[in-house]
Amino acid sequence: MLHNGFPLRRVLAVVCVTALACAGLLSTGDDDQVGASTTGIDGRTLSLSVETELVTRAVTVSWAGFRPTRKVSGQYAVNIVQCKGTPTALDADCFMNTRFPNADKGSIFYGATTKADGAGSANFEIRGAMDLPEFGCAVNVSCSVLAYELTGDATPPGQMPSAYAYATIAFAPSPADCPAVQDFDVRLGGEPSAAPLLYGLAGSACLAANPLIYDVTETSSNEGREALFDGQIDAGITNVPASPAEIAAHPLITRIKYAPLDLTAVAVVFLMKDSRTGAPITSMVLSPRLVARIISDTGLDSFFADPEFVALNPTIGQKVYWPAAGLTRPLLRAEANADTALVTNWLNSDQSTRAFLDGNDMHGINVGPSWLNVPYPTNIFESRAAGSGYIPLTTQRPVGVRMFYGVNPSGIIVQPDFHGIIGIVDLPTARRYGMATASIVNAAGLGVAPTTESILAGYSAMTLNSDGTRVANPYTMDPAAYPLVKVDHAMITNALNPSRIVALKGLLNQTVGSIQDALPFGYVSLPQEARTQTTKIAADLAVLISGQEDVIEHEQSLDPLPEEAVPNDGSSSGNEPRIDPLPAIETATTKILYRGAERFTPVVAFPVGRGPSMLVALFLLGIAAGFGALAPNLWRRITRRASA
Amino acid sequence: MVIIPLLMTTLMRADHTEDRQVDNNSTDNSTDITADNTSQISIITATEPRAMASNPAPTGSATCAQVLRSASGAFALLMLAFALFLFVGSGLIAQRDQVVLGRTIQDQLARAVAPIGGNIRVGSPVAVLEIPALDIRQVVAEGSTPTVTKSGVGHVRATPMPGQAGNSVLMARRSTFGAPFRHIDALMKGDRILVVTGQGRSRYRVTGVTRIARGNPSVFATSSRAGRISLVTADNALTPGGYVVANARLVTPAFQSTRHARAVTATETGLVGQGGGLLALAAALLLLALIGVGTTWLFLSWRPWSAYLVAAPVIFAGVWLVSNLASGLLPSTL
Repeated sequence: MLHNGFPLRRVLAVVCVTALACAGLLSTGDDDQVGASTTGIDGRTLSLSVETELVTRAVTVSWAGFRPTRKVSGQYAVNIVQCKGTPTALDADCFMNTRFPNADKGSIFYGATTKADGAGSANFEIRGAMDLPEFGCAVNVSCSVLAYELTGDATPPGQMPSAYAYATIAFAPSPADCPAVQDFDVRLGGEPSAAPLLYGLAGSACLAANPLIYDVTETSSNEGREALFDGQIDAGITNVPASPAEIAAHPLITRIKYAPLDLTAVAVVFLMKDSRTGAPITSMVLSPRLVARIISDTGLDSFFADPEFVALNPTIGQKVYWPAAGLTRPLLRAEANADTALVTNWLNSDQSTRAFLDGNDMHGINVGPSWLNVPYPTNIFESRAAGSGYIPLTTQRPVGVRMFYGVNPSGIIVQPDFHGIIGIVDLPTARRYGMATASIVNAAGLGVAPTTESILAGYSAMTLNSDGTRVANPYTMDPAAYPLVKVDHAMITNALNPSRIVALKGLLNQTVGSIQDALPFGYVSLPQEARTQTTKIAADLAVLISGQEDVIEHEQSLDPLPEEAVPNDGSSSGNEPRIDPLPAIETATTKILYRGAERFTPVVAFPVGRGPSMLVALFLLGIAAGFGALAPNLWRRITRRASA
Repeated sequence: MVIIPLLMTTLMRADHTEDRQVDNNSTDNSTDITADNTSQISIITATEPRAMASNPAPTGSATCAQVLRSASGAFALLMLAFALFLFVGSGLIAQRDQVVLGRTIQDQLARAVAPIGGNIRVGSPVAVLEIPALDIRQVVAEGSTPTVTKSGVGHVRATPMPGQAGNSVLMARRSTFGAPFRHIDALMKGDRILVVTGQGRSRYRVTGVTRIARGNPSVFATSSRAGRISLVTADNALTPGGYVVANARLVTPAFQSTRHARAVTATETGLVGQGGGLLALAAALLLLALIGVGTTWLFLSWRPWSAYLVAAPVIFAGVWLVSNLASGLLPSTL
């Protein structure tokens, strides 16, 4: 009973693999096989820019041997869908039923065009098991991408379309490959830019000979720190150190270490097409002032006429016709997060940007009235003018998905040759969806794109704090430095559960180990000094918990415990996490450190005094009263009858 | 205070009965109570003490005895009404609340917006609990205060949500308000428990039923990262001294943990009633007293049966209101 689900899963997996093998053997007989993994009707073929080691990402799907799409009627346009490994029925085996604004649940590409030579291509979003659980595409569950012609007749239920080709795709390890467990060996949460790297590690770790189960949650740096202080996770992933206020609110956290995990950046990304030719625009240079103009929702219709924009993006070679109607409202993350702090700190560091925000713009453009004198840096992009369509979106993923599908913050699909879309995401997300990234102007006055070189230059200029965190320095005069670089740190405190040491040590060493030389998209390998910092922290986790060495870093931690430490109401913020010495006597002033979530007892304010036996007393009293009221009459009647 | 109106009617009835007995020596006075109310009116409406004195009325000690008898009769009637409310009428409230909560959660589940953690408003539905062995299907609301468990099963805020790792504690009443958990001590090892939350469907297997004394916080504790659920109710239908807890183990994969509160207040322990409801109760009793005065006036100026007909629904509503407020003083597991 303990592992009720597992044998079934295994059996299913075996059955699936066997069925796939049989189907593969059978299909070689009657279908045209082109390449190792493509199956198609009448010589149709399909190929993907990436076919193996896939994660959720955009790929270019190319096909050949299809009938050319008719220009007027649109007949023989091509739909692209994600299917199970060997699809046998379009409706049952392929993910058909959602499209934006429901694209969070799957992806389908409608009506791509096949050229006269029978070939065509389109960008298509492939989803792994974590983003498309219905299909569960993972290492052991192969999936495929199917392209089929629209003949004008609907495909009958339970059948394949009349003309199609599909290619089998293979996925990289992800947490979806891990067995369903109730006990995680180590849990991390926080900044989403580290998630793609950690998901890959988690998938590999649980498939290894001695499996370790990592739980990774992508939220935000702020949420990661909060969850760590609350004892819900073992390590919080954060770009910036915990603020003095956060540390002061948790006096039992006396020692904090920050282990660098990866090096990446924040990117300004855009989706635009030339309004004359319809060709995608791939490069753009933006100054901090222009980014502030976008974020502050200031005259986005006439954005491309800004004198500074014109100066930064001169015509070189063929003239670029920018989208005719300017920009839509920007795609931004809504929740408090470190990327926002990084960007707004960069904006604040620039004098002309601050002047623009304070209403003294060098080109005489008045900042949106709601943003006048806005205090930067900030953790959070607020919609300061209600109802304007300026809607920051929660978490990274909706921002990335909308950017890919060309959807504005209000959920409406826009024409990118008419209305340009621009947004701010981290570099892994930008690369995941193959987005165009803008070059941004650094303090030295040069536009730099987020490349390996510029990010490393930005890293060299980062401020190394005394607590071991590295934070971008927007004032650096290095002309090669990209200003919006960031290092994801694993934040670990002395509240770490000792039973997690082994798994966490393994994870930290793995993260800065050989994987740094074979990183997924959007990362730059971490310089050696930072890796050494992490391996040292990983080796000293026991010391961090016990505090044998003198590693106390925060003077607030030495404050004595307050007497009325445990609040009576149950609000989760500010309450101290605690270990539970089961079944300890709880008093209102008991306060013990909580290590992880292994064992946890909430503060219980048991009532003292009488129980609800009052109710019984009340009822007895009621019965007695009723008897008292009726007895004299009864008595009189009885005596009267007796005398009669 | 509630005694006043009932006292007045009972007093007047008693006086009249006494009259008849004294005057006519009647053996069957019950049928005559309502027959002649002119003398009644003369007695009751007389504001002068002289009017009472002019009556061939009983002596002072006899009046005192009558008042006491009337008072105790009124009290007994009120307690009877309260008991009827608790064990019969309150079930209707729970049933109706379940329908409303059920619609809400159904809609939220369909739109995938059911709350799954964080600061959930107390009283809003968070899950659907099914125990096929006991034929229980209840919507679980957030919180375990007496107000919440009046509607059905409540989720203790300081524990993880059902379906997640850790011990999720659900609390419900044993004897009143539909008594959802009346029979949970009859659960057998291996019985299935199904829970649907915004995160998905989870299945549990009962591991055992235990009794836990009050004051032992282990009932709310998480002893491991394994997914568990504890169904908690009072250990006794009238005088709870602790909890009966049915424990079950999660057999489906655990969902992502979410943040939850870390403290259980006294009212949330299910051992004491809601504090602070006394003012509302006093106001309701005052209202009931006013209803009593009005009824008495009707009774005196109309024919008795007409007065009864008009007054009965109002009295019923008043008693219902008072009982409902008074039941808030009961702990949430009773």
